[in-house]
Amino acid sequence: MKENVILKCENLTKIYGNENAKTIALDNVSFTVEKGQFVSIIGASGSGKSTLLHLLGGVDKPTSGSVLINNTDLHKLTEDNLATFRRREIGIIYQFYNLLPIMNVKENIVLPCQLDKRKVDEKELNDLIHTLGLEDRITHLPNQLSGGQQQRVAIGRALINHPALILADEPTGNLDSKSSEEIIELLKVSNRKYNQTILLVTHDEKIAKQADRIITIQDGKISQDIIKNEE
Amino acid sequence: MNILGMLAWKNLKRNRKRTTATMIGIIVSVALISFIFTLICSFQSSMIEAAKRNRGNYHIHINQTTTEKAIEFNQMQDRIEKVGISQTIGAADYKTQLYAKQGIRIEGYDETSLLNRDIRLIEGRMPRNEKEIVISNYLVNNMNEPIKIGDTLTLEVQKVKLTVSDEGKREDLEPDGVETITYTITGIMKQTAQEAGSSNSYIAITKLERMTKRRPCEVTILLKNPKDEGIFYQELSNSSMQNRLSENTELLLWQGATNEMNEKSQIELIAAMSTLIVVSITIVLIRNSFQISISERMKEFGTLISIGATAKQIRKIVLAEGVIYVIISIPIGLILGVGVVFFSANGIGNALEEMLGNDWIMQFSINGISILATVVLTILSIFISCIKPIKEAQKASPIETIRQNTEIAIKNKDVKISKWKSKLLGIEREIAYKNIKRNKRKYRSTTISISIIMILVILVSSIIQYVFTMVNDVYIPTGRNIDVGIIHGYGQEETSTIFKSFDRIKQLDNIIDYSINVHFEGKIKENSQILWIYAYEGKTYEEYLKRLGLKYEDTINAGILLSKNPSKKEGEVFNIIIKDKEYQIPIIKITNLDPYIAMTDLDSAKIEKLKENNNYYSNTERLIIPNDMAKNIDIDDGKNSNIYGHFDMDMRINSSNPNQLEREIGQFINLDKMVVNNYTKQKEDAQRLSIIMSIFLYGLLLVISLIGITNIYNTITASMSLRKREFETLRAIGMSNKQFNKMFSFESLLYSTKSLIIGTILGIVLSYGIYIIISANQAIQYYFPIVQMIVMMVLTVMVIYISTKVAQQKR
Repeated sequence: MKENVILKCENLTKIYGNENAKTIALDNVSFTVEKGQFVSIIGASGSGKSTLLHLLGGVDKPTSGSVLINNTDLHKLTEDNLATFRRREIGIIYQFYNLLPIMNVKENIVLPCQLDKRKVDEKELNDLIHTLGLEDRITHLPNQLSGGQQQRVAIGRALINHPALILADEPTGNLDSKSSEEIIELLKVSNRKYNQTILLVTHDEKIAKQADRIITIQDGKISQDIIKNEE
Repeated sequence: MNILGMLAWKNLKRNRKRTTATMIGIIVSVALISFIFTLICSFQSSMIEAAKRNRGNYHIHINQTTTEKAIEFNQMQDRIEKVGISQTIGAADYKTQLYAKQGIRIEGYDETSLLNRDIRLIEGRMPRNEKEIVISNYLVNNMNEPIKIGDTLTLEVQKVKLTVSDEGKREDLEPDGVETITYTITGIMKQTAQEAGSSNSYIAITKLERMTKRRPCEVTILLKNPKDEGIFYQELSNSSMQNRLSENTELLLWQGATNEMNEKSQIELIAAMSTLIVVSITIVLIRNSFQISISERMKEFGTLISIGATAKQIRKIVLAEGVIYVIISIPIGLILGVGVVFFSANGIGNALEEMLGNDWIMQFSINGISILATVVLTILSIFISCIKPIKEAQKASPIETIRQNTEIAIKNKDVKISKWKSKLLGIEREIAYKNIKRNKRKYRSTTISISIIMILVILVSSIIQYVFTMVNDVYIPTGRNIDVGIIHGYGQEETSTIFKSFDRIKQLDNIIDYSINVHFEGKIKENSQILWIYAYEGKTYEEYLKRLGLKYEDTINAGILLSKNPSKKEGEVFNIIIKDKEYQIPIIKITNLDPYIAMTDLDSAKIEKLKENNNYYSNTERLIIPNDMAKNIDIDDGKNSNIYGHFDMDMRINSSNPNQLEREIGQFINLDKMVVNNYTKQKEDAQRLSIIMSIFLYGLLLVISLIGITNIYNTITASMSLRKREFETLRAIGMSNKQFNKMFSFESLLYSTKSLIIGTILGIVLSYGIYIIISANQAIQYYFPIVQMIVMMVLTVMVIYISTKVAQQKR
């Protein structure tokens, strides 16, 4: 694996159902991502893009194939080791935010650190909160925030541990256009500022084009893989 | 099924585990309620049948009235169910082994009396005409020659007539000729109360074919409505019959004729309290289950409302679930509850029979009212449980559904936690702590369930402990297990009969050794002072004599003077007056060694205590003679005296088979005038009763706990289900299984601790109250059921933790 390759997928396949009624959600997908890349994965509904993201995030197991992140084969890890790996090396951002309703903004953001029993660098945290524009909201609970604000918190939670990879599954799906732009902008900022590798799943072409590389998924296969600078 | 019913049915099917758990809880509840009601019904029915067997199937007994009055009663068909009439035909001399009873009285019973009086046939059949009789086993056992069914008995029956006033008042009994009658014995019955109460005759019963006007009647009245008995009795009391009335109190009690607190109402009260506890827990269970179901389906209800469902329709959906629970759980629960009583009636009966005696038989009985009550209570429980969940379902917001906004409205103060607490707990426990804080209301039913079960554990353990303590304290003297003694007062047995009974007992098998003790008084002729006389026979007396250096033969016609300051010397003669007769008793020995020590089972510490207090013998002189000498004395048995202590007789037996011996003794002694104390049996009975009570109470506790556990399981699984997204998020962020376990363990600990503390405090307070009540009459120490409480605490935490693990969704 090349030195700057942070993610390598090899022959990734996911099949649901049994012999009589089987669905091939992903069909032998292989690709690599280098560190610092901002990749969007685009496809129609049911194309397999979310399935791909779940496999990359280690929250689902492939039928065959492998996922290597920083040379670690994700699906060969034990459950506990996978949990540890996820909290340190992967940050996931969902469409519906999935914040913990009983924790305020600050607590939600630092949650991965606390699970890792790691002391939070207050300076870094404040910097992150500032970047996310949440200084005035740090003691607010999720039900006291707008959708856009909640998604920022989710981004903050994903970034706090400086993971190898950020996976964003339709992060703007539940937001209005203004909030959506803000979120994408934030992702771009974190990509530039922290050299954060980001994979963003979307069905929106306009959003997809904001990434440096666009991988198109169709019927479980990669139909296109375009790096913007090469166009 | 319409759409609303179908939605209800599909929801129940979708959540199989919770539906099953709730259904099991309701079935168990219905089974328990129907078990309690059926058991009470069966027990009461058995007691009614026992009362009919023991005393007869009538409410009022009139000792003496005219034939005209008897006929009048027969015509009161609006109030009276049955009238039984009997008349004394006459009496005949008949000598038996029993000195006291030397005659047979012939009583004529009509058909109703033969059926409804307390005639308990052991063998044979009832008489069908006036030449056939039934006699008692007591007579058979005391006859000079053996007799059996089919034999004849020829008696010179002295007939009687009475000069009777219009009100039936007895004026004079006149002979009315003698008739030689040969009776055929058709049956042998147990001794009747009438025979036991008769001082000089046995009773034989024949068929009363026609009433004789000149003879007074005995009448028994069975009323149509037992509750009418009070008024009816009062009416009779106001007439001239007032001194000749008696009630069958046992039957009336168990038929519920009286409103006073008695055994029947006490049992009903206990049943009512038990039912109340069961119903309360059931309501908690069902309500909790419904609330969980509603919470999970708020989106669904919001959608239904947004497309036009009315509040009434929402209510119908929830009620439809209740109806489904009713239809399935009530029949199964009823069959279970009633079935358990049906199959265990024999077992319960066998256990209680020996103790309650009098041929008590446990009869399975069920009545429509108890079934109806069970059904109504269950339906009410289910529908009361639905009220609040229905209101919540009706409040579901369509807007929130459209927005997919399921954010839980939480306030900061609800989940605030101090920094030091946060550091102390760690993140996993902090999440658990905050979850408990925000979900207080949701866990309330779990808290209530656990608290109630803890209270019951403490109460049941305490009660059972007190019962066993009282059982262990049942007195069993050392060296003997049966005592036969007299009953003082009116109807006291004849002394000569008692001596004969003791002699007969000595001949029986299963006797290892015995002691006979007779105590009576005489007056010293010279100074008219009272002299206490004690007559002994048997093992302990012989041991006493050995210690004095005497043999029994030495004392056959002499006495031992027990005295500190003897008034006579050895060799001198006591002149004693007893019932105006003079007896000379020479003194063979003077001693201060008290036979009381040898006769009782005092331990050495108690003897020393008595010696210290100078109490181990009285200062009064006592004369000790052998029992054989006492038999030849016309003893003053104190029958006409109200002061007990002047006369006593008992026989203390060490038997190898006390139960068998008791049965044999009962064949020939009059159990209404003498008492047989089988200490071994008393202790066995007490132990048996305490075991039954323990089984019943622990069984009740187990079943109630089952309902409670069902409730706990439902709450926890629902809570886990509602937090599924949270758990997925935590897993996605990187929470390991170990960290999840830590979180769940702490949650389990938190709310189980709170409920256990509440339950423990309340349980201890209530158990102390029970201790105060019981200790008023019993010498017991307060029992703190620490072991049971610890077991309960551990089990509770385990149940909660296991429920949590079972409910945990795997990814």
